[in-house]
Amino acid sequence: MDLPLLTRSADQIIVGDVLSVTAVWDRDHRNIYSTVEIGVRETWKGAAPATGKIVIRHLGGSVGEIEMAVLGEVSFAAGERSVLFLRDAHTVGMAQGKRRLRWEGSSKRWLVAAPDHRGARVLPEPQAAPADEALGAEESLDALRAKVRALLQK
Amino acid sequence: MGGLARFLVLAFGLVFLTQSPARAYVREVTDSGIPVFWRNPCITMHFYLGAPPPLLTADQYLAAATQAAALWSYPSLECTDIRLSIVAQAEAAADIGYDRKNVLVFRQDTWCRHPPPPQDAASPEAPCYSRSALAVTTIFRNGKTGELLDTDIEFNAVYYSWIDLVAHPEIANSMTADFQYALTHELGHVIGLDHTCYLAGHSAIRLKDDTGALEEDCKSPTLSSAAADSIMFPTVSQLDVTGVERKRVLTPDDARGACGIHPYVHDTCPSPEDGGCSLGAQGTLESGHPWRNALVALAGLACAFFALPRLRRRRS
Repeated sequence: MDLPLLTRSADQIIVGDVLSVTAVWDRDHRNIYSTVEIGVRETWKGAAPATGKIVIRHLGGSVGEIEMAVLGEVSFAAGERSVLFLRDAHTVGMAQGKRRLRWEGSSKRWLVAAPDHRGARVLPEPQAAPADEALGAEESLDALRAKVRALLQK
Repeated sequence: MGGLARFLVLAFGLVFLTQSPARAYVREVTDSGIPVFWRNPCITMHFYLGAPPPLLTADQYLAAATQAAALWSYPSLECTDIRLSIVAQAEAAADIGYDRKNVLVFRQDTWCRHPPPPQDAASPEAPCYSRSALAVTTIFRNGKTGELLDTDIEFNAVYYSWIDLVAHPEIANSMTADFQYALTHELGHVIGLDHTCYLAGHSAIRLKDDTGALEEDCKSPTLSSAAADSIMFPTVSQLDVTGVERKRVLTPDDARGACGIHPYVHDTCPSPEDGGCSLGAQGTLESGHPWRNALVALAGLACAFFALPRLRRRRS
């Protein structure tokens, strides 16, 4: 998914830190779902949560010895920071709706990673813009914020 | 250069042009980095073909799946113990989940999780997959040992049409995908292979390949042809017939991966032509009564004793 489609599809776009990840089996003990508590630092689209936190869920996770991996699905680790494109408490386009951040000490800025496609087997979106390939490179958080805001003003 | 020499140079050139040299393969690992494997590499995939998507018949889907499975399996691949088999099911679809039954289904109504999560487990609606995902593979594994327990594959027939691109290149467009090519890739995940390279900056960890080196960068201009040509290359591009034909076969690295994870040791599946001497799913020493384990061990010794001459013949 390209950035315009991600931005359009999301009802909430935030920058946040993962506070906790909890995985449980469903009632039938057939699938594992993870609940991720996010501390929101910035809200780019949608209403900022009053509590400063949101909860999102995704398929997969680990309970005891059993790991359930859904290839192409998003995953989180406590402490990591990311930009999240969310809709109905899920990331848009599975792992494509998460852009991990990393702090670059030399330039003193946050860099945004491309979406995690590990495990995904994807074709280009039929309506995707040619700029979709730009998702393959890191960019600064400031640059991504500016792009998303520009898209939201269109 | 004489005629014969020129012929040999051309012949060798053609071999290297058509087949990438072996380089490395990447194994799937658990969250803690343990490589995954099947305790019993006789893997049955239950293929739900009761109402297959249009453009191919159930028989054509089954034939393509059987060919894809055979690629990764003994005896097509003589150095492996993997025996992937496809069993057609009369039902149209099945739920995905941990039941030790490997499932292969088409999703045609909604590209969302089936079954939807129970009310107490997650959000009130079923999470949907990315429409650009051709297929989604769900893997259950033991995080401490790496043992694979259950693998299910769902094909996106909501947003894409599945075809035999080699037989009918005239109907290919941006919304069609070659079924056999896609399934061969997904079955690579089923046997425990990861992608041949990583997309820069995408993953929390960059895996190591079987040589101990960091896996290659998929977007690097110096990406080896071995990684790019592998069936386990992570993304799909719109390929022409020649491209799909190339992707329907294993590269030397794909084959090394299958054989490295599950090397040929002995017959592990009952087979009528081999006399059925095997240690199948019932023969694995997982748990249970000591006398049962002892019986299984004795059966295994007897099996090995009688099978040894046959195996020696096969290896020679």
